[in-house]
Amino acid sequence: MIKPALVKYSFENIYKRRRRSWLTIVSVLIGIASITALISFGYGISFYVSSMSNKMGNDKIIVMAKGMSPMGSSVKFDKFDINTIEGVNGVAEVMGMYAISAEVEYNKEKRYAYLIGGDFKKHRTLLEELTTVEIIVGDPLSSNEKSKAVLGYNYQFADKIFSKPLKLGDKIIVNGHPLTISGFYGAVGTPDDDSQIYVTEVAAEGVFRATSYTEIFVRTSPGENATKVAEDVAKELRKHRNQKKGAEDFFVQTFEQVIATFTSILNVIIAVVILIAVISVIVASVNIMNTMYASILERTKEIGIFKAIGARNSEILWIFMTESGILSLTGGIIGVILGFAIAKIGGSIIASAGYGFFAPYFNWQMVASILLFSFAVGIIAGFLPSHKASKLSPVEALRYE
Amino acid sequence: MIRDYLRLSYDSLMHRGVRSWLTIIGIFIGITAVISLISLGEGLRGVVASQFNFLSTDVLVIQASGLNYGPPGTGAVNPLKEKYVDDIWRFNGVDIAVGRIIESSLLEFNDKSEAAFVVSMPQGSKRKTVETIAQIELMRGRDLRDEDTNKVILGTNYVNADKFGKIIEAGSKVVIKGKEFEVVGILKKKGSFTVDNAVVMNEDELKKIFNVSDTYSIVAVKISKGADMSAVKEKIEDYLRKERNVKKGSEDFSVQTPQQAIKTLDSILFAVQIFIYVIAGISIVVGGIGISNSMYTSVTERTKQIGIMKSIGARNSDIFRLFLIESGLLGMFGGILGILCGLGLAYGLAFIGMVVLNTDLIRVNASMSLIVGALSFSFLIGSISGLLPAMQASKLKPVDALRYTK
Repeated sequence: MIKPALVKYSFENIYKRRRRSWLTIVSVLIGIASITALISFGYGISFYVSSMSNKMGNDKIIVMAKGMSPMGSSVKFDKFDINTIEGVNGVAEVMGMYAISAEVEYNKEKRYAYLIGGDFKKHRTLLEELTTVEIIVGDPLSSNEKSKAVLGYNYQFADKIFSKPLKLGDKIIVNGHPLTISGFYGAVGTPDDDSQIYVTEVAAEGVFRATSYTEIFVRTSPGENATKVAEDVAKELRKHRNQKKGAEDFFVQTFEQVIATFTSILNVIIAVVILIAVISVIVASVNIMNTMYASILERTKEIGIFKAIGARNSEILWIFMTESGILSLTGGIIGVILGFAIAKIGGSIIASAGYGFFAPYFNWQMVASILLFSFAVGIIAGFLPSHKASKLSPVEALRYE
Repeated sequence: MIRDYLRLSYDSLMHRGVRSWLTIIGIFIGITAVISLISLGEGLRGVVASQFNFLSTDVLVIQASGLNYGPPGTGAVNPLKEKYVDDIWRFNGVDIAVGRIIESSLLEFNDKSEAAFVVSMPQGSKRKTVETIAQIELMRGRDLRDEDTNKVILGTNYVNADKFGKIIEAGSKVVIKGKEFEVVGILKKKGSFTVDNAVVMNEDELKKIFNVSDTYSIVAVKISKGADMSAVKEKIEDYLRKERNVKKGSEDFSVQTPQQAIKTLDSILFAVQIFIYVIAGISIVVGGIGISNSMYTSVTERTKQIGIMKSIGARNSDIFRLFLIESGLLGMFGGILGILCGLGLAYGLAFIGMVVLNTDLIRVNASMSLIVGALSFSFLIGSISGLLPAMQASKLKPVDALRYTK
């Protein structure tokens, strides 16, 4: 159907009107570049979430206070609640965690962070799976340690939290109590998590006067259905706390549910942003249409000659469709390359700001579908003008001045 | 003179029919997107700003430092003491100082529970002041009184039937921390998260049931008329440094105007908005390229016409102006249509939000400056895009132009 000679003719025309062609291509590539960059970040963040949920596994449940914020809530969890949950069928491990708002002082500088307390020796793997990081420098705390702490990743670097980097053995003052640094965790990728301070349960209770767990984490026994166990945990806790269904002051969720909620919100945000970027491609498609109309108007006489020497309507249609397809595909290719560069540069800037999880991600399917999309835009935008050209009557076209 | 230019430009735009419309559509879509996004974004910022109910300009808010994710003051490491309030009140330039306690808790009704902010209402002479600064107005029922026990006022969000399965009315009984309270009044809808979700309770009672002894979550200080705000602020800071035994530069508290207090949140929101504008703005740039393209084509098509105009005495500047006005008009037409459609879209979305989602968080704030700005911007984009083509047209040699054939 498409003869090489016709494709060559299309290329020649694009070249002949190169300024107009370039402007059209530029208008396409701007939109495609922004879409490429945005999609790659969207992909990257979904990728991060799903890899995190894989590491966390589907055997975990969280128990939290109902309310606007977990901290400062008047809902209390105590050791008896932990015992109650431990007694539920299908529960393998229960860890209570304290989170206290902390003022951290080092070298006369003060910062604010969360102090996290819990028996992290006993529940080491549970914590590591939940935070998805391990202690990368130094040693874990022994269960009765009261004067040492393991810090989040960011404390090891200058100007991230304190102006000076902290080392093993350094002393910090947390809410007025001195703590010696015994280790550092790996990077989670969010500034909040990477600035936390971890102490033992004994220290949280004895030194920092924590009285109520902020969150309780549960691991179900292998083979158990986490959703079912979560329901049982809620039922037993209600019974223990003497609360009616619907009127409980806590909620129980499996991690899968938490992540599913988060993912669906994330997807909506990504979709909205990409949709806004797609608007520019729509504008670009209008530009293509405009260019093609102008191009056909200029070549009316030429079309008349073509037809007079025997060109069929379909051939005229294809000449112009090929032309608009080439314009948009060229814009698409350059746009994808530019978008890739923008995403990479943007990603490294964001990573240096402490949000390492927010990195772009590319794969071939994505690149291919963006290119296909840009080509389709050209074809669709070129259809009406090309159709008009193909329907010109030869006599009228030849007479056109 | 200018009328002739407009006439000529208009005629040639009409002559090109479809292509003019397509060029206009480019700018139109972009301006529609930007106008609707900006007006909705500004509306959202207004909503966020009104979350903080001490938005008068003569009020300072004191908070203890800490991680602040929940309601103000909940993450404080070293909370504010009750005695500060009385001390600060005695300062010169301070009209009134009041402390408020904010606790998050659960509200039970009809065997269901919902999260709530319980906010204290000071008793005695300060009550009236707080009611004024916090703009507390009632929709139903009555204000709290000093002699009230086991009584609360609720924000409008609890009145929704779908929250508890049953409507809470003035006179209904609710349970907070295991204690029964009678609802004596319902607050007017403020569209503010903190006010509409508030449970207002007399201070003494709140202290008793939440075990608060002598601390406040925030302290609000109203400055006397004519007093120097920054001087009062400095005095309060000096006093608090001495009281809390901290050195200058390492304070564990903040004294801020309400505008400063919401600065962080506002700047995050602003950054998000800018990001969205930039992405939406891209489509305007693409539209501008479309105008450029269309003008180049138009110059080529009218080469002969330009030649004729020049040979009968048109100067370069005349030709330049003619084409510049033409492209400016293209931009401005697109702009006008875009503004109308953008506003329509924004109000439509807000209406849908109100009717379908039953939320007034989607609000439109389209200032005059936004509309004028968008209009001048679209005219500017049109003119800039037309600059090069117009220059090209004006530089054509009359002889060459006359000889030109397609």
